[in-house]
Amino acid sequence: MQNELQIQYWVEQVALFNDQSAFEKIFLHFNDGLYNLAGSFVKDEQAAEEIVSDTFINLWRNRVRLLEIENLKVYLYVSVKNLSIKRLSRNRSQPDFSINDIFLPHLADTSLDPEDILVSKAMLQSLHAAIDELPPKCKLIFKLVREDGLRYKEIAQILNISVKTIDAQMAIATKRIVQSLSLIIQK
Amino acid sequence: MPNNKIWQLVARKLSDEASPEERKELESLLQKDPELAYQVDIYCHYFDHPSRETDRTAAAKEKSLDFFRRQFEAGFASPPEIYPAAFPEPKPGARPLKRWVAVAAGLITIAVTFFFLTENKNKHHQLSQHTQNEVNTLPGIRSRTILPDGSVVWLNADSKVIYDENFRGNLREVHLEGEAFFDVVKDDARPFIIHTKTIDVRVLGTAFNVRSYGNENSTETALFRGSVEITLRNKPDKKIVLKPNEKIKISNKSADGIESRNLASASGKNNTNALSMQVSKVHFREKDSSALDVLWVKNKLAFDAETLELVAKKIERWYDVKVKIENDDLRNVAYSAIFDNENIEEVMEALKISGNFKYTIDKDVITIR
Repeated sequence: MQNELQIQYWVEQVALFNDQSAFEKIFLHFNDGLYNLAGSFVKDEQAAEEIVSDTFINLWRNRVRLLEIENLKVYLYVSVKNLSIKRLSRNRSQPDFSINDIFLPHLADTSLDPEDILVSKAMLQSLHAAIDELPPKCKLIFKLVREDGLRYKEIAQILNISVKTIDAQMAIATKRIVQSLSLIIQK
Repeated sequence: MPNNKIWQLVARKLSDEASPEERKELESLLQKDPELAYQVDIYCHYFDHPSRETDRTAAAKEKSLDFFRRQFEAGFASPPEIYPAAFPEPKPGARPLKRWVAVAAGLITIAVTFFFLTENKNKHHQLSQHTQNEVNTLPGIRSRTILPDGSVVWLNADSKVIYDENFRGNLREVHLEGEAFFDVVKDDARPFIIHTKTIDVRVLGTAFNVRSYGNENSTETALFRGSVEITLRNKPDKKIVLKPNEKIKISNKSADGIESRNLASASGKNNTNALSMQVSKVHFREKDSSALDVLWVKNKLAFDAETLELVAKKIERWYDVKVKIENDDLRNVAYSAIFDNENIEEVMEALKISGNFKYTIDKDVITIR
């Protein structure tokens, strides 16, 4: 709630008053998610940096229309994805990009200690390992839900796939992760 | 093996995509499979508390911003590489911003145990006139319930929890008889209070475990993280705040009972004098660092240096049997043990071997001599 209002305020500052410091605040706010998304596509830090930067330069150019954007988050994620794919197709001979080519080496573990939820360390490790072993597409969706706080519908718009697919992928992820736990517990 | 429906429902719940009906459906599915419910519970906690380790450092972001500023200056000299995609279409109706995940991020875990003397009739706390919900478990049965605010209650055998239908008002009040483990959704605006016969436990944002055996004459609270505030029913001005990994034991009989102020913990400097209470450390199992106090939630029957008298009471509740101790010399012998899914015969055999006693089982009556 607080976040949404804050972002809306920054957006208005930029759109109405060309407020550059508010614009930089928006940049920093979305930096983690966008940089990680670009990185998972292009697998190159500098390239990811440039893509995020280009996205915001474009946003600044379109700032008079900023208030028309219904969902700034989706807009930024879509822009980063499009720029990433464009860069990949420029570097490669074949222009088509598969979502299975994305690379997500590290997803967030948990901030909880075993005693916080009264479980063993091995259980938490097993959850994390199961997440790391998810197929690329599944893993990306999982990450966008859990770490970036995106809705199924938002992810559907960003990745250009159906909500049904996301629903199914999240169910697969859940099944694999929870079942990794049952192996540990039975031991 | 659960079908795919359940995974879909768990995923939807965690993603805040589940409708109230789907949440109910999930609950009823999980109720039928406590083992799976436990695993899902662990996973939900894990999911709702992502570490920030994949976040970029402040320095990396600052570098990013510097790079952007340079590009920004130069950016106006050349046209952008690509124009942004079309603006996404307006969505019909804004969705409520409150996310289940955000609420769950403040999940605090507490457990409360309280056993009344069976002859207890007069309700200590006048329940309000709102519709009351009551959940009961019979001896030998354990169950799991969701409170109106989303908090989860695991109810041990022969226990009862009563709460206002919608938690109306400024407080979330729960009345407990027996033993329960609470997973409380944090809500600073509406404190969560657990009323038992002897004490009131006020949740200050933390993980803790209260355990109180009325028929064993003591009430216990074990704190894992944060802090909890305990008020004695007969001395409402007396507030005791626990520190992490401390456990407090209070006499159920009266506040002026036997003084045993044995402060084993470094920080147990609370004004405990003149009260029959004892502060000590929480015992953790070395193998997987789970606290002995709440093993019952995982379907494990645990004794932590408890006298045979207490052990007998636990067994009675756990297996819905009667245990008689005929040899009084055995009553105060202490036992420590953890039983995982063992039947009553296996438990009695194990106790017999370490306790050097004889016993007989006649239907539901066990006699130790």
